[in-house]
Amino acid sequence: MLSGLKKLIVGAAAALALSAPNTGLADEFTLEGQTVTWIVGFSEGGGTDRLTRLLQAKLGDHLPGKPNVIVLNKPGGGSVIASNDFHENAPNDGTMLIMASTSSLLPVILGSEVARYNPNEWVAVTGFARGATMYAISDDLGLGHEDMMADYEALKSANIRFGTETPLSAELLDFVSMEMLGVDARYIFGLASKDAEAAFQRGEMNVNTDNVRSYLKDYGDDPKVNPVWSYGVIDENGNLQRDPDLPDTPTFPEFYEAVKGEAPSGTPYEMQKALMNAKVMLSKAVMLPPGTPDNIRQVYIDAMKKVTSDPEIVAALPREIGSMPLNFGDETQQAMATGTSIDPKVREWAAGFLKERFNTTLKN
Amino acid sequence: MYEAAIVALAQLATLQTLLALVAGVVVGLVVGILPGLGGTAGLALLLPIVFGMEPSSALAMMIGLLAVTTTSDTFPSVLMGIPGTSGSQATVLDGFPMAKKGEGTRALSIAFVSSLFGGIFGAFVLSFAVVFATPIILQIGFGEQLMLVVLALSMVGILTGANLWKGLAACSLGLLLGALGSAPLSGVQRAAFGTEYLLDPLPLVIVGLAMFATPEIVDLLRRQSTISETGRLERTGWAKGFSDWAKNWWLSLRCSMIGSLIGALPGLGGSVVDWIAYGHAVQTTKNRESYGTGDPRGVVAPESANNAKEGGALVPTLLLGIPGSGSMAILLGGLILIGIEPGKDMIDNNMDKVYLMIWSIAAANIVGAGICFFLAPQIARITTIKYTLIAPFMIGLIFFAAFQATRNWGDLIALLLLSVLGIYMKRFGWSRPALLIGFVLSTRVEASVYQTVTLYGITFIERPIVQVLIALTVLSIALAVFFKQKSSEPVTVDGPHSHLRLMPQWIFVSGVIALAIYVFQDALKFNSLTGMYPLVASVSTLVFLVPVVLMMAFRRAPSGFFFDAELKSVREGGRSAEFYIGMLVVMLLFSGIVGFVLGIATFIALFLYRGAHVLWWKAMLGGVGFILFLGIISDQLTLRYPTGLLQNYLSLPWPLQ
Repeated sequence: MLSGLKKLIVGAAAALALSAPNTGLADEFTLEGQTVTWIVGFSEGGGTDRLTRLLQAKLGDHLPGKPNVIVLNKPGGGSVIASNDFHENAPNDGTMLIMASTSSLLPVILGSEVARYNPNEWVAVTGFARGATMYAISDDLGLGHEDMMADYEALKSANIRFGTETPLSAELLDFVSMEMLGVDARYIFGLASKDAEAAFQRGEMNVNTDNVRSYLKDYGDDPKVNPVWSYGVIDENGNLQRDPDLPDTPTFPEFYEAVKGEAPSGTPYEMQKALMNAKVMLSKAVMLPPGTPDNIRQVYIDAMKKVTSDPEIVAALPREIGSMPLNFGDETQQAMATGTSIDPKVREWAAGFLKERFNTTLKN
Repeated sequence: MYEAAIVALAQLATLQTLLALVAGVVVGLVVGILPGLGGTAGLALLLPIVFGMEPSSALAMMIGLLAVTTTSDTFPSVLMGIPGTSGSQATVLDGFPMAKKGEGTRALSIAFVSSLFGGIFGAFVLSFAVVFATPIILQIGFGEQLMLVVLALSMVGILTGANLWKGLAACSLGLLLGALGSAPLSGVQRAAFGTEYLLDPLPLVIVGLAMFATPEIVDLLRRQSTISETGRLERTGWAKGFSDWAKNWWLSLRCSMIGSLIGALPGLGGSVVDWIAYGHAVQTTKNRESYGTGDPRGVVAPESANNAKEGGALVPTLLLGIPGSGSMAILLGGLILIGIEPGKDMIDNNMDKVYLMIWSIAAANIVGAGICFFLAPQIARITTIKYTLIAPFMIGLIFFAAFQATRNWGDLIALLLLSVLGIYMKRFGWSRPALLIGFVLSTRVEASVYQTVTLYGITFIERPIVQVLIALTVLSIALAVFFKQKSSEPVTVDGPHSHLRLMPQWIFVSGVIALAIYVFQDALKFNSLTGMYPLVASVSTLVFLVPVVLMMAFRRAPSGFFFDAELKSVREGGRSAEFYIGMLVVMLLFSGIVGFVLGIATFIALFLYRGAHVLWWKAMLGGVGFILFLGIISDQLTLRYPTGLLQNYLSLPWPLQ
């Protein structure tokens, strides 16, 4: 009975939508008097929340009709709960958007069953790239950072201690990278990034990973702590370049080529690239719900371009994400596609790797 | 350093900064009073305002807020038995019995003086710690953290209640509840009963409310017409409270030290501070019988510690840029937003900002305690109001509080289910503090045992600080054994310890066993990273239950193992606990149809009309009032309350969504 009623209402709404003149929409689209809800799948005060609040302060001014923009925190399952809900229920009329982050993409990359959403169906507005690096206490590992080959030999024989949250966290990028090089490490799990950072400061861990901006702030002038490699940045031609904030540090593929004598390739590298894309290129991404009309998408892209060139935001952004260029619209959508559409063979390899290395499976 | 302190004092002494501080204090007091909301929610509320503010004022405002939430959270803890934040759970144990004896003002007075003292002590510690604490904090590695957890468990082990085995089983049950949901070491979902809600572990605030708030509400509804058994409030509570604190100043000082130390060191986290302080108070007194029945020392200890904790938690946050607690994480976020970046750089170049924070903590504690003193006589009158008039609002408030945990329908259901557990634990004499402590420490136990063993093996005991902590643990256990508690209640055949009519206790124990077996068989599916901890927790629960089950099966005389509060006295025609549980179930089912806001409002109106016999229009007014309260909060905090089927078809205007 109820579902019948629901069908009727949906049908009526669809009929109404069809009868509306499509052409007029672009000019008339306004959010005047409405409230735009910006979903954050994490608690208040975290990196994703901070960036969202920074932008929220200006977004309303640049949207047609100057709507009220609010941030709604819906923490749970590393943003999976909020993402599921967003995918299934968010209205695509421009009144709801989400700030996705690397952890929203990870379950999708790995094909985990808890994620019922496909971020490729979301409509991309803006992507925020943020450089990532793996750094170490150099003396502890015998690294000189002069000769990559010598560093490689040192890494292979060193007692590497690396603290991370879980085998399925964003540090998988570092695990896969080290696996490709044949470098072994002792992984200590159960450490949220702040705890891993604390353990690194105590010297109980001697390798850590973080975004470049945090690395520079915490250790930029500390001669004992140095980056081993960075994950670079992809330029507009699709080529990997060195991180603009770490111009003297090799990227991972550079390091690989120098020590292995050939450029990286094969299934593990496909996985590595997908994870790099998710962690660096789509560190944070502003997304609209599936099926959002093009005109609304354009309105948001224009608004975000204006927001991110506001002098106050320009001054504050480097504190949050570093100095990498932003990407918009198609470019972001393309990064999302590269980052999340994984060949089944690659996924199979990842499952095997996780099983063999950490005795962890993705499905119960 | 001296100079920076003076510069900072001058910065604070401007009108604009002081006003910001007071505004922060007021918001902090409000979120502290509201159960479920604490420093984290309060700071979230300030973040949009703070952005773009002058840094000194923004700092004063945020610190002002954080410093006083644990001052005002005493109101609900003492007057209603509902922990205002997770920092004042232990205050309920003695504070609420005092309110029941008509000593509400006295308890509040003790609490505010203790809070004030603890808060200023925390600021004092911080002012020294910023200079030399870094090397000390860096000494606390995984092994030390593990031993801190063990020490904490030994200190609170004294709270196992009258029967040791049931106490240990309750603590294990807490550890077991901590095993439900996502595993901290692997992220794999375990023992989740097939629900998405348990993608994360159970939230602490919900377990706390279910253990203390709901059982008390149900109990009061059944027993008493007002919270204060005499129906009155004694007039001289103020002076008495102050002299209670003065008599126990040494305890207050020790607990302040404990609070700031635990706040500053990694490994335990702020939510266990009050319990450790309470355990310490019990442990170091000879005559313990009065604890739990309204002993002033039981208020002094947690209240001194929980305010001192804030100063301590700022130490790692400012020195290392690593937040010492949940609210510190969001403070860190706020600081970055206003362009201040804690860490070495700040200590070297922005010492005046550090001292501004220290002064702000001290000033906020004074202002906060002052406001609380001023308001307390009025607010304490709530204990003399007919309880049926308050109860429906309390119920609305605790469900609202639970919903703050993850803002999900699951929060409300989890509160209901765990409340049933709490109600029967109270009835059958199972220590609820023991369960809560087990739960609070569960994640720390799981992670630190694994991390220490993986990294060091057994060699961690060679580390000097570990050895000191082991010695303290031994001392703590020795103290507990030396001053052994005597059972207060006579064991008679017609009392609660009777061996007759054990069926309700059998049903309860079977339920606990079933839960343990479910977790056990679920754990077998996983590798050791995910499955080891639930395996150990479920087996230890079962082991501690063996003596209980054996006694129930074979003993044919009254015993301390048996307890059923229902056998205590003949009841004069009140409703049963099951009636009230049923009422909550119906309320939630109805909310499933019309949404939480309308559901709870209807419940309040109906309860006032049928249960408290007020005029129909007054009852309606009560319901509408609560809708407005929810509406205003949702507007301020950007919340969306759980919706029902109705909201799928109709979009209702504010505040009825």
